[in-house]
Amino acid sequence: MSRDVGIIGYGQSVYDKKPERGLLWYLADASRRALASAGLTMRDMDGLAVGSFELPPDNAVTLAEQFGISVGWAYMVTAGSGGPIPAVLNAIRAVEAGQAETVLVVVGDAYDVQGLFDMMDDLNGALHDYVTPHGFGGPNGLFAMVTQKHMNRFGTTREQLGRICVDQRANAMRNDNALLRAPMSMDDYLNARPIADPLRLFDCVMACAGADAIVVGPLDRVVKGKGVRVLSGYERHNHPPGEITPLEGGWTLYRDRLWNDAGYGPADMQFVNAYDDYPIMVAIQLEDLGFCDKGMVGPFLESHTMTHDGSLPLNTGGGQLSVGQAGMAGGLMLVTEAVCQLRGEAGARQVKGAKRGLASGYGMVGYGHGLSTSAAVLEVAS
Amino acid sequence: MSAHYPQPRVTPVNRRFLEAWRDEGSLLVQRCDDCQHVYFYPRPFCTLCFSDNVGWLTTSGLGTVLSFTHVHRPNHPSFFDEVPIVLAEVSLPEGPSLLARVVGDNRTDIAEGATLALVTGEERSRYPLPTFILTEKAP
Repeated sequence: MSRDVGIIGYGQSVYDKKPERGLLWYLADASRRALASAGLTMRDMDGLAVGSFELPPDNAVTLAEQFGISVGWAYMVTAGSGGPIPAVLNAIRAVEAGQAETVLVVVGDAYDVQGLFDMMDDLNGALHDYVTPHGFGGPNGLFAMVTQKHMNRFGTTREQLGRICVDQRANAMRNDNALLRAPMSMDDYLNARPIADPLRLFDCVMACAGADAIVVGPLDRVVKGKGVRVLSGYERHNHPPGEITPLEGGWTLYRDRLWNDAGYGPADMQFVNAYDDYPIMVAIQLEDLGFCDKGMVGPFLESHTMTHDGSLPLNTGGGQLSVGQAGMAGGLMLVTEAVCQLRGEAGARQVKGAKRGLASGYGMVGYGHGLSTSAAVLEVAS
Repeated sequence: MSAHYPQPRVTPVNRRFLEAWRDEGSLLVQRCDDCQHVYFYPRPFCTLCFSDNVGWLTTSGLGTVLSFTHVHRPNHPSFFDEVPIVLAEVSLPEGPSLLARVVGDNRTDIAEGATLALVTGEERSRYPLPTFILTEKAP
């Protein structure tokens, strides 16, 4: 990836449990904050990328009209929450190629719980025709089967996976924008209301309204310590093809390139923001990206603490599991939180001396599981 | 009647599959006449060689559980009175796997490796897609 072009601003909107203010408001709120952190205005943007399940029939071009800007590059995220990281990668390439000078990447949705259920029933043709008529319980039912399979094959336990949820909640308690900030113990996690066995309430994200935004541009536009370089990044969709609830994803195909390009390995990451729609998917990302061997994530989790001051700070803002899942925004929150950490602006949850970290995305549930994966290694530009 | 459940769209691609279940109680999967690849869900081409020379294969109606869940909170209200909904990833002896609902009073005895058979008789018409019952617990 480019040495000279990177992330120069980030922002997260207010997150609401009910979509009181409408999608455009949240997209604009996140954008305004990202622009402010870059020291730029909407008028400076000549590239626009947008991700949102709810935006159609609008799109990146009609959003430019709404925002009142003329753009030389317009991009629509197509890979669910696996797509926002590729949007940032492609925005960097667009600036490098001269298609735009500064790009706003904004991702958000404004659901409540029933809105999410309705959306999931109709997310794509295969799901609508061959899964929804069975009463599958949305992603909860599908990821319950992935979790069950991982437990059966590798002996992974709920106590091990629960460490992800409990420690992320501790992180969220230091994040004013997180919607779920009540203390959560392991007992709370283990004894919560059953949703789809073996998943219980705190394994599942809460649908909400909100947006996240990133500004991409020349790194010399911001003062030292406030720009973030993307050292490497990849995406892969529909791997492995044909398997309904696989225990691995596309990350395995580019893991070596990701680390080689970056010049770092998993042990060099000072934090990991792994897409956390369910703890089992965090676990699978840790395996697939090389933090531990396949099937060994249970003992790996037992040997680490995942709080912001722990041995493996994980989803340092609380992740979607505790902040809330504003549709596709979950796939960019990984990046906004990473940039916040790398700029040293994370306040009470700041990872001490954070210089580099990993963000990885996942999404677009098809016939049984999420089809899209992405990952990027980020480092503060000095 | 199954009318209260969410229904699949009937398309030129899946019409034969849906009619075979509704009228004959059969589970059909597709087989490529060029490379013999067998796959599910219905598509107008082979998922291995991309040929459009594909036909239908009537399966034995038997399956083995690869993974499963008991859904306590279904999406659609038509399922609320029938919880837990048991959903399974089912391996067919003909090759492909599929997602399917498992019904019956003993449905929560399901386990990985358990064997399944298609629902038969009058009850079948309740379900818009091929649906299974548990025949034997895991070995």
